[in-house]
Amino acid sequence: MRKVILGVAVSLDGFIEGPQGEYDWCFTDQDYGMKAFMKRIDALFVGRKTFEMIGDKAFRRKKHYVFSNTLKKAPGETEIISGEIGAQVKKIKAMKGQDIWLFGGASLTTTMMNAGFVDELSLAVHPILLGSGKPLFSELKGRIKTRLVEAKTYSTGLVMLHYLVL
Amino acid sequence: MRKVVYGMAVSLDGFMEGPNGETDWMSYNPGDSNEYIKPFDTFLLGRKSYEIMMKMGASANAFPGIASYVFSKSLAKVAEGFNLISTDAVPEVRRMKNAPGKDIALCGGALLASSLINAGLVDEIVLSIQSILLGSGKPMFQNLDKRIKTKLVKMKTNPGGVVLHYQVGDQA
Repeated sequence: MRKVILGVAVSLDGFIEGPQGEYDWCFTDQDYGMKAFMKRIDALFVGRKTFEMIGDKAFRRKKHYVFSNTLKKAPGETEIISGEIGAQVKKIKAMKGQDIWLFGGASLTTTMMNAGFVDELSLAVHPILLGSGKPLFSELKGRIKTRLVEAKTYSTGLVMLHYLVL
Repeated sequence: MRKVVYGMAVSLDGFMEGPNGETDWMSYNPGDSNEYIKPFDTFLLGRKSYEIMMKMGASANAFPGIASYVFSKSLAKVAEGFNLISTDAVPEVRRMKNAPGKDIALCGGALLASSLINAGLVDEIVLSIQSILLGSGKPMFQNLDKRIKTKLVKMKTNPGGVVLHYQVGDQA
């Protein structure tokens, strides 16, 4: 079974975006394990709003699944997932292939977490307090236990935390 | 000058307490906390954190040699061994920092911590990130009025999760 990995950058106070959607605080000076991560995955789960921001060209040779009830057309190989997503996500996870990067945004992430579809969390904790913004999760239905499997620090103070969702 | 260190346990989604004030999800290791409190001779507590400590059966005697201050404008008195401060926290803590003594542990809550951070009085932050998502609850900071850069000085894993230790830097 393919695994779904939520991979996001978070501030020290738990925000994935600043109050105006800013992500200028995210480090881009080095790889931070991204190359290895990209070798692990061959597909992305993306919410509609996020997809409209990144398009289908940011991650070449990766299958993009865009979750939306309003989007009618998507470029190239991109597939639109609409309606009841449960059975469709199960089918994609059961397909042959590599793991899947749950890219965001917050609303898709919350839906996926609540449905129990997320297997791992990969959080790039940045050494900054944003003060306010969009939290990592909104409206999780209840507690979810995780197990820390790796914690890695970088020279810039970024800490990469890798959890299994239990 | 004495340092003020804000130390707390938070869930992986950044909450200090569950939606109904729950703290049962925190793993507690007495050995770790004895080690943690070594550099300190002073504890600072917000009113809510003090009330939670009292509910958990804490007493000032549990920490010999440590002076505990409760910041509250609504409480009329506090338990024996605690000191109540009803005036503004910022000038009070500024005065404490300039007085002689060991370092000062800020034990919560979010409002007190945020006002001290906004005033530039917090030198270090120690987050013990527990391996659990609470889904909702009370965030670890409230009303921070600007971005603040921090510098990672130490990371340690333990059975409860990971402890990240930062120096508070300048406005980002």
